[in-house]
Amino acid sequence: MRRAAMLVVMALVAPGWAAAQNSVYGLIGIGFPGEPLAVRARSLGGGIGALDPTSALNPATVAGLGRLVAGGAAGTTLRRYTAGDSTVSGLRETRFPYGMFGGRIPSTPLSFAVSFSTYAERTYDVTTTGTQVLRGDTLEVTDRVASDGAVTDFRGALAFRPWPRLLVGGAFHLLGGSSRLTVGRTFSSSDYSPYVERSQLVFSGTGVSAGVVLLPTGAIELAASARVDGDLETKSGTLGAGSVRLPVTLSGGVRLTPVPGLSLSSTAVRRSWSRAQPDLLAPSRAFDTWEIGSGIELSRPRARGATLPIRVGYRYRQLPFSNVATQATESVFTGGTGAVLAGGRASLDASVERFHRSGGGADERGWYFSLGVILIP
Amino acid sequence: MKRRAVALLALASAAGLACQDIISAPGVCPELCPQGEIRVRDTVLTGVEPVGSYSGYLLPHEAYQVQVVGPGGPAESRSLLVFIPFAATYPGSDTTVKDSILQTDSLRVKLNIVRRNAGVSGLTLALHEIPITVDSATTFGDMTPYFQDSTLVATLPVPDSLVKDTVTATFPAAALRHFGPDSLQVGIGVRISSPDPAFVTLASDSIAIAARITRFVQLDSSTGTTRATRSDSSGLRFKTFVVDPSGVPPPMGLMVGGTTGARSFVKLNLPGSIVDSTLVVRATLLVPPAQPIFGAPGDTSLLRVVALGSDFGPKSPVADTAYGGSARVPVGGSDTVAIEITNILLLWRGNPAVPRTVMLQVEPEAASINIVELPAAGSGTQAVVRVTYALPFRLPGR
Repeated sequence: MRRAAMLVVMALVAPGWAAAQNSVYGLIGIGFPGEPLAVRARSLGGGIGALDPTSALNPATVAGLGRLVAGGAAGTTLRRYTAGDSTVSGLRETRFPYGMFGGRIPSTPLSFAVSFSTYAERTYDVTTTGTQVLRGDTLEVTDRVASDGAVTDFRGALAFRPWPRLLVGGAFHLLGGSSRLTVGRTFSSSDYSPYVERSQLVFSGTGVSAGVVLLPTGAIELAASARVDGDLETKSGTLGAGSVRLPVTLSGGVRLTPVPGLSLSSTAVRRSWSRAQPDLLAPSRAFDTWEIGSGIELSRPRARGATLPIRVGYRYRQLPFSNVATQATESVFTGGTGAVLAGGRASLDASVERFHRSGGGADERGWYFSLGVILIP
Repeated sequence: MKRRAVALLALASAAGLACQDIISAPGVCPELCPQGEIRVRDTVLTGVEPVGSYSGYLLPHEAYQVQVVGPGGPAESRSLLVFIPFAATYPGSDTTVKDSILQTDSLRVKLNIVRRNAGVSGLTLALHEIPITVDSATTFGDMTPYFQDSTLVATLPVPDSLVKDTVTATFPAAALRHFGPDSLQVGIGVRISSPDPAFVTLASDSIAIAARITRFVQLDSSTGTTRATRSDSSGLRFKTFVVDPSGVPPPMGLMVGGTTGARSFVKLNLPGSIVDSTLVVRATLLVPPAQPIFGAPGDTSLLRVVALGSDFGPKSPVADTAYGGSARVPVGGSDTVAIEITNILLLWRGNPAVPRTVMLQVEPEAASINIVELPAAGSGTQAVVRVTYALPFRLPGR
């Protein structure tokens, strides 16, 4: 069984890891913002995000890792969107948006976790047409801008339990990642040579976060965290290609366990994305965002002798970037389950999400399927 | 449990294999345009530095075309054709006749016209007998005595409808004063007689050679009882054309073309910030002629720009000729000549070893009287390069 679990992990990781689910809104700003959530948290609408030690939102939760834990996730997006007169369907992407490794540091009261998650997804391939006046002639031009990559958030977190009912943690975030950018333009006149510019964009940045988890009673868990990021620097080759201010993130969460086997959780996140506004090119606009997710988990249901938890949730969030005056939003209904394998040494979580993003000149709907594995060596 | 593990493995593998993304989509601007800016700019760059004009790469007798220009234009030119000598005996393989030539009845000259000016009617070619000793040093003045009525062998009307074809003139052998047993070689000079300024260009092509002469002779039959008529022909041994120098204006700038096949070298001192650091999508060399383009009335010239592979002065080798551009320019025109040199700048991009000097030539070289003159160094109006280029994609960020 252990071998099977390892094979599952290898199958997940083998193609490499990249970014989270994609969106037509990823064309704008620094990309489509990712979520540092494990699959279980996703299936709960992100409601447990601020309290989940396998997610990377609140570093204090790392203190809840009793043993060494390793996990990862893969996800596939199927989506379609309508923008203006265009309807595009059949879009599909598979990504590996999340991985973590953590546990107790022997002989110390500390726990640690290192993880990667998608900060912003930047994969798209878009063709547009327009006109340009050159040498007195109005030419039709066809532009292609394709990007393949993401801004990745690498987090190293330390946490401890000063008291049994309090978890405190802090983390250092290293933003990295890259994207292959292909830009080309063709002209309606053969006098002008079509051109293609290929470059490798490398992202860098830093941030810090800190958080607490309070356990006033056995049935109530409260969490809060804050994260401050610097600027996201972009380099093309050895040349600087600009920097964008990143938001301050505040989050808070609560989980209630009124009866054993039933928990209700909710997490709210506020990000000050409007800080990026001066760094964007017109007509792009940056908005502060709220993100609120809630979920219910029934952890006692059994099937064929095994526990199969039922998780449902709902998440609402505002999207930070738009090329028009209105801010886009996202509504997601989620569901999922999980299975404990190998005598408790591994678990597999599955989640399905139905999302609807609207505003900002587009309407996008789709499904996101994710599969995660947690190993306890 | 094992079956479940296998199913999970299959599920995870399927997720991994589903990595074939489908992400291409049309954009909708401005709502959903990719963040960033494609910046294509257009500018005019000075820095075109005339280096020099050099001649003699090719001379008219080496060119594969010869141009005959009639009077009434800026300068007259005449073609000189010397054919390969005929054999003293009939060279044919016909065994029904003896090879001893009893009599040469007539000769026929066939000329292959590959270009002429349109709209001129009544164009006639006059064929004169010229010395077979003409060579590359022969001048227009040298040949003037041989283009008199006394040397006229035949006249050859060129149909007005003829654009590109062969024309023939047949004349008695007696019309050639120097064709006989001592010299079985023919020299023919061609001049134009036309009410309007005109030109024709003779050349070999895939169908015919530039000129050919056919001899019609009488022979005895092999039995000696009857006479038979046979013919044989020969091609050109030497061809050239000579131009009246009094009609050629004195040079005011850097000469390109003409009967000396002049080439001009021009250095393009263009900023590296554009040539090396941007993507050039179009570059045009704009050359204002120093004086109206000289040449045969109604003719056009192909002005070609080629990048040099190395810069050794007049004997510099050119780069791959694919890296060049050309423009057809009309004789008499004084408008600025625009020649696309985009691929030259693409050759130069990030390649400092290649000299940023170009060579201008008229094609075909030394095959016409046509001359394009570039402004000389220090003249008020200079050539410029108009460049359309794409700056690196501008990403968001300060």
